Amino acid sequence: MTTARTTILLVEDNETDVLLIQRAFGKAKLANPVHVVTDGDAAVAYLNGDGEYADRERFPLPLLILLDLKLPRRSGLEVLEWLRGQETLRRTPVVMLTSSQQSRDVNAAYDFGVNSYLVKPVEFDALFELLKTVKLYWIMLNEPPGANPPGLA
Amino acid sequence: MKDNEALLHAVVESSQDAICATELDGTITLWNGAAERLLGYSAAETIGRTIETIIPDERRAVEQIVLGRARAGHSVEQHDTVRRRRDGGLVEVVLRISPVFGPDGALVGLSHFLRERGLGTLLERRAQHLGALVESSDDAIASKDLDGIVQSWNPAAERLFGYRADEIIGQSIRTIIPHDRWPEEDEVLRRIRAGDRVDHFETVRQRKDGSLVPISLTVSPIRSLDGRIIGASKIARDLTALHAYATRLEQMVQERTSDLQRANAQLEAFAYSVSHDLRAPLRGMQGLSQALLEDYGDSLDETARDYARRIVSEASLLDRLIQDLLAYSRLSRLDLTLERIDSRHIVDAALRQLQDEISATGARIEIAPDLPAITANRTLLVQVLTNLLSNAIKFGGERPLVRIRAERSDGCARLWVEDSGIGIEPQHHERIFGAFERLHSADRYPGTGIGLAIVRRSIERLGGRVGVESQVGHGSRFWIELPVVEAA
Repeated sequence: MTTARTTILLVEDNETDVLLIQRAFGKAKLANPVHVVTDGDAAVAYLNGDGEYADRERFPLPLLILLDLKLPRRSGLEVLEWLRGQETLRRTPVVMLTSSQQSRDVNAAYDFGVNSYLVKPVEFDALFELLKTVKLYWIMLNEPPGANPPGLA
Repeated sequence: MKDNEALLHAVVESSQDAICATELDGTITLWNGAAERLLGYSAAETIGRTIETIIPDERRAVEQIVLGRARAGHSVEQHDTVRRRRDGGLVEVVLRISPVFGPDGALVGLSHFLRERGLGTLLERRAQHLGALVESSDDAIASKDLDGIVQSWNPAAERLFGYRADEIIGQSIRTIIPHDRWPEEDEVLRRIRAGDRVDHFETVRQRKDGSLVPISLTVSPIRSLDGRIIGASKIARDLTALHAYATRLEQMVQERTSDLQRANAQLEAFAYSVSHDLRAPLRGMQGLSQALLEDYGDSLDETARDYARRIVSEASLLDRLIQDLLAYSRLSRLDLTLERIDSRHIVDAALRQLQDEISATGARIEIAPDLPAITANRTLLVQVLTNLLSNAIKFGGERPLVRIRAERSDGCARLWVEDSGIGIEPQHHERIFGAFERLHSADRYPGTGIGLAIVRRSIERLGGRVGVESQVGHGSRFWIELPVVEAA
């Protein structure tokens, strides 16, 4: 029997945003561990288990991915596209967490199979309310997908 | 006998026609007063001289032939010719020559009767004038009978269609009409027979070399003197140049439009990037200042806490400003889709957005039951009403009372948003609609100063007007006026 995943993978390049998001999660009393990667290539490496990320004790596969759009090296959409092409990973719930509210970005994300699209508010209180809701919905209420297809580790 | 001679003499002298008599060799024997007046020679000057005196050189050969016939004993009737006056000028005349027979029946001389040609034919002169007009016209002018056979064809028609007059007169006009246009010609003939003109209708004709030419055609019925329609006159104008000009103009418009679209797209991308990139550090500023307050507030003195609070609120204000500016700039570039909208729905949508403010201030909202349907853009209108209602609540004093009602007047509907608040001095009524205009400090009444600018710009784009009636202490009544949808 496979153990349920608990990690949240936060893909975000802006240090201050990372700080504030983690503070908001703290205020929302999120117990789940949060791993941060700061560019698109690192996100793919983490999910693929490349290099140091092969150690799944230290870098477990995530329950939920919070993904920014504008990232160095590989964009959020490219990461999403790659993910949805991976047999063993493609069911992972992905929530876009980004500043862009442009409809072409929103539509592109849904075209690539994002599960939800959230816009980062400027005011911290609003950010807190948002992430509190994310915790309630995606961590506590949402039924996660089954792990790998039978036969695979 | 003597009386007879005197009578005859008087008759000859009183005649309006120039009368002269000659011997068979042309020597002048008689010259009446009218001849003196017409040709300028007195009788004394001409009698005894030859008739050749008054014949211009270039006509000498013709006149010899004519005189020859007269000498052979024939009358010459209605001969159009030219004579030369004493002053050298030429005069067109109609000539009659009668042989004069002696008592024994032998030919003894000729009598010439001349009348100036111009006078008798006002009609001729007019016809000549009109003919010259047609010949010299730049427009192709032709005429045909009711069977479509070409009767006349001016030089401009020759140039336009390539057929010479002698090639096409007597042929059917369908020679120059492309086959697919023949039904047109049937229709034109039908209208001509009914006595109607066909005005400036655009069509296509075929030149002699086979090429097609676009023309604008006017066809009028030709009537005989007794009023029957006997044919049609056609005036055709070559439209090739006009069409080329129109095409070039359309091309220019298209180029300008795509230039404009490109510029707009660039502006939009710029505005988006501005908003996106400005708001990220703003988020940092605001969030960290608040973190400072919340996590370290206890180790800060009141002044430090105040500083931190101000940073938080300034950052929030800056964010609202950026969003309002973006909305305002987008207004100029927006592609407006208009639709029939029930203004009541818009009011409800705006009120939903203001729920927090309404419950926070305990505001009472009264909505008139007869709000009309109008032609507008839904998104813009919701924004407009949200801004107006937000102001009404914000400046409405304690427990604001906001009234929404409508008035109608020929083709327009006016929506009023009235509040019971602090009012606005008359000298500020125009200013407040400008961007960044505020009448109060941000501490007392938070806001960016762009709300009403957005209202005015939006309503202007929708083809309407805005305004305000207000006095200090007696509340404000804002109005927007928009076209009303008439019942289909």
